[in-house]
Amino acid sequence: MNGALQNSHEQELYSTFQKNVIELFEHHLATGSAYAPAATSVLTEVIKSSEEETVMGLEVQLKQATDAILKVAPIAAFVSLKASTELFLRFVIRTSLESSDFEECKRRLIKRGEYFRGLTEASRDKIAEVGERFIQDGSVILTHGNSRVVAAVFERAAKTKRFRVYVTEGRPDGSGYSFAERLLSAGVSVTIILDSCVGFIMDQVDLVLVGAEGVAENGGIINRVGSLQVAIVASSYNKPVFVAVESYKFSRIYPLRQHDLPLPSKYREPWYPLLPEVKISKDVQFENPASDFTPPSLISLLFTDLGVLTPAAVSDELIRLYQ
Amino acid sequence: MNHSTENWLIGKETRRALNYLQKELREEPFSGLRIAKETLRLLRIVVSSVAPSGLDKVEDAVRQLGRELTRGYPRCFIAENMARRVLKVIHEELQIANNPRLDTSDLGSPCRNPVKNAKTVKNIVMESISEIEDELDAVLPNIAEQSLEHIHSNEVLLTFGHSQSVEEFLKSAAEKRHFEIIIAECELDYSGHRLAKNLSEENVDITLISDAAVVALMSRVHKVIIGAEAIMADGSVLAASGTFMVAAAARHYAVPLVICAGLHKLTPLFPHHPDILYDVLSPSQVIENCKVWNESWFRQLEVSCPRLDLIQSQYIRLLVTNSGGFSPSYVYRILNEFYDEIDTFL
Repeated sequence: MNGALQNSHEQELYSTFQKNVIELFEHHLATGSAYAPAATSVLTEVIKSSEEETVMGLEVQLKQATDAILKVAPIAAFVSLKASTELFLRFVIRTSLESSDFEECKRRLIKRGEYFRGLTEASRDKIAEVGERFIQDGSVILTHGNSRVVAAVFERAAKTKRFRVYVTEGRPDGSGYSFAERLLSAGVSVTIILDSCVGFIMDQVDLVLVGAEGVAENGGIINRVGSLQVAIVASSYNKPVFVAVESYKFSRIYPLRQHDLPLPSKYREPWYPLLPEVKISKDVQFENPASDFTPPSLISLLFTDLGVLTPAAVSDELIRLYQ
Repeated sequence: MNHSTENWLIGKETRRALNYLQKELREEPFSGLRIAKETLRLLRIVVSSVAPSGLDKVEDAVRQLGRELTRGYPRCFIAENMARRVLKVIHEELQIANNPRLDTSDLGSPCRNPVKNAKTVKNIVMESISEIEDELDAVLPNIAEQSLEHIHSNEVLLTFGHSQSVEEFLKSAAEKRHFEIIIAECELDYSGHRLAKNLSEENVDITLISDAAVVALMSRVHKVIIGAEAIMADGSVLAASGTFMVAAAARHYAVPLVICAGLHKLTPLFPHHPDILYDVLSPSQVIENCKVWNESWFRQLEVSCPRLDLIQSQYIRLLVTNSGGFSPSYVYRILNEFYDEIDTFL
């Protein structure tokens, strides 16, 4: 994309533009917004303040903004950001085809951007509403990862029901601890287990509920590493695996192998903190993937803001979203 | 039941029809088709009496009726499903009324009247109800005509208890092919005996067995064909108690399981609520032939008689319905055709 920029002046403008975009994006994140709604807000702002006079020019600017956002996005949000920004760009193209006047097109895009942003923010409530029906009084639930959507489902269910949740530690960053705190403050009884204890605990569990960083075209999910393991164990014990995920995370990717997923830059570095008393020689190699792919055959149902979907139904919804 | 007297319930005809239907819903065994037809008859009465007040009021009335019926017998899905189908028709009409561009019904007419009067709308809804009734009349024939695709000569089939759809399915195949049918008697109500009697005139070899023998004979069976009470939104099926054992045995021996059910039994609910399975019948059916029920120690026992089993979608190979045969993973498509999502919880 830098091929079109000839002189240093244009490059300067481009880097200032990117800096502003990143600043705005981080500002939205700081207010507690999820990644995709923040990205949509930023792109809508770009349209509002754009001085371009053609749709092609606007598209180029939006692509530059998207690149900037993706550069600073954490690996966990990469898939969902890519999916939602692609969706927004498609809206742009479609709207531009529908309206002949550029100013009117801009107005409609801004309206659509704000409408889309509103949708993505209300998703969590809708998902909590459909998901909490699947949690019964006295049930035991296993969760993995640190999803705000899953927390919303639990918080909503905790208002009317009593249940127990097993939370995995979530190595290497131990995010399970903060997740457990959040559930405790909502009045849910929580037990923390090692990631490796999932097999041990599975026969006592009634259902598994996880979030997702992205949903693949075949209905499989990309989530924090370890989710695939949990799903395989659950399937061998015939326990249902439910996924709570917003529809803007539906993406047109189709991973065939685990290694098809984007790998973080620190993939081959050891994770910190290693256990304090461990001393290891520098010749030992490490592999540290951040996410894994769970195939649709291991997933029972997806709770989305479009309703409860079977994995088979995801591709139909994707077609509708991308039309 | 009649404490919440809405205006539309005041009509004597409506109240009588509603009471009759609620009584029907409590009787065992009930015929799904009869329930569906009775519900549609009641919906006709309600729609025609409320129609002059406008389409919005009709929608509210139908929704209210669906709720009343669920309250009468919470686990009978068929009555609610009929209400949902009518609601979908009403939503479509409301959408057209609010957005006349969507109306493609009278293209080509020189002056299109964007506002339809109440009478035309009522006629459209009544017409749709008639279409659904015609569909119901065609359920058994449509299921039966698919039998030749699935039943071949000299096959050994197994079924459990009695289901109208399965009976018609088997009779239709028996006209052209000779096969053997093993009927598990279903110890709860011995409905298997009724099926055996109904099939005795046909060109089939009938073997009647006890429920416990199903697993023992499964290795010699080519296909299992059973009926269902409801098809849930994830492709799983609610069927008579005992059918899950048949399904598990079939899976163990890799015998394909076919479910025959009309689409009036298709419900947009998921089997996540345990109430669905904790529907119990009188324990007298369990201890019918028990000689010791009178003794004092027997009083300490708890006797349970669940009515239904949940067969999950992975056990089912094929759903044979009046709209054709499809795999359980396809159920979500059919659901979107028949019902609107907002009507899932009336």
